[in-house]
Amino acid sequence: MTHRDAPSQLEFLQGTLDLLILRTLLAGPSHGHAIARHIQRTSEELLQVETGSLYPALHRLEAKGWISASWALSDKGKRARFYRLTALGRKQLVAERSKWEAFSRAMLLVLNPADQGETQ
Amino acid sequence: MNSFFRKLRWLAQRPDKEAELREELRFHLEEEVEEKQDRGLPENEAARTARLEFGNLTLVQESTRVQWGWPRLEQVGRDAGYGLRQIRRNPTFSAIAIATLALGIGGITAMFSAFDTILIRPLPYAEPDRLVMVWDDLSKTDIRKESDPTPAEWFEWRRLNTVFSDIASTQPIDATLSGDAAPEQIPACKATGNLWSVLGVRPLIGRFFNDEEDRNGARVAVISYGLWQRRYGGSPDVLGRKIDVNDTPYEVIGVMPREFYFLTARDIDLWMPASFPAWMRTAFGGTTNGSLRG
Repeated sequence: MTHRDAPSQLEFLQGTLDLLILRTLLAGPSHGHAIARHIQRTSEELLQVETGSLYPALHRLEAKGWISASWALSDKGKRARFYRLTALGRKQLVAERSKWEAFSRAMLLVLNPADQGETQ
Repeated sequence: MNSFFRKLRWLAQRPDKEAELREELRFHLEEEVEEKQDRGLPENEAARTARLEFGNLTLVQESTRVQWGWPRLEQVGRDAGYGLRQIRRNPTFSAIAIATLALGIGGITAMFSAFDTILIRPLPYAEPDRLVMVWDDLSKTDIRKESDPTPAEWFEWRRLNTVFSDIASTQPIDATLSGDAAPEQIPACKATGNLWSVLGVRPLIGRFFNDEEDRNGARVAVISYGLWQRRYGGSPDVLGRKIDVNDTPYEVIGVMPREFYFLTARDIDLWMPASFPAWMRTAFGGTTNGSLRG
């Protein structure tokens, strides 16, 4: 498949796509395609957002009330479904983000112990 | 909870949501095509690649649609629907299965009801463990093993009694209740005036008949809680009411407590004095209850 030609692509860990969508919407309302592009570009093409996970995620977040959707015109003048962060979503973003940061810090600490060089 | 109501609203807007989703995904595809054209791909090539990258459209729609509802609930609904279709498809087997279940549940319920009343719940008497039932032992005859004592025996046992604090006697009868409303066949029971003190029960309202009324053949009656509710609407006016029992006028003087029942007979709706006449001192069937001396 054509989109598999990137040097190395990462699989999304459970729940991380939700966090990335919320973070992307912090900059302002956006439609699905732009959200996917933004995540891809910002991650230096390491993260590829499949439509099969993007739209279920968007609608799931909407059902939870973390984001809301409305139809508006895209910058090219076409009707698109724009998502925006709700107050609840903003709170969720803060919580999820600190959870993720703690998790990734913990992972790094275990993977790169400070005294590794000396003991081996 | 917010989420629940949002999904409920979506349920009503399902066709609109379908159309919206189709449009949303079409927009995504168009953006993708344009982007590829901008990068210099010819139009048909751009459309083909975008389509390939998009993946299975139906699958994307399906997995997005799932987010609108309650997947687990809908799964249960589908299972129930499948079950019902199976029942319709094989009615004979289903009927047998359902009947088996119904009989099983019914049987267990009936058994448990009896078990509950007799063994678990205490009998609705003052000292149930001091109460006994007394029969004639006829095992030495070839007629039958046991027999209900006669009024004559009740008189004699009571006179010669040394082990019981008292002995009462009852006799179930069929009664036709009439006079105040549509005639009705009800289970009734004649009782000696001391039955209430032997059982140790009190009336819910009114009073019971006593020994003297029993001896004098007073035309008074005590009715069950059920009959009171059913025929007289639970009104306290029932006390003093004139009713006809087997075409004989009686006066209602009391109502039994709701939980009261009498173990030897059916659910008795009407109690009246036994008033054994003198000639019955020779032969009559009936049940005798003795209360052991405490």
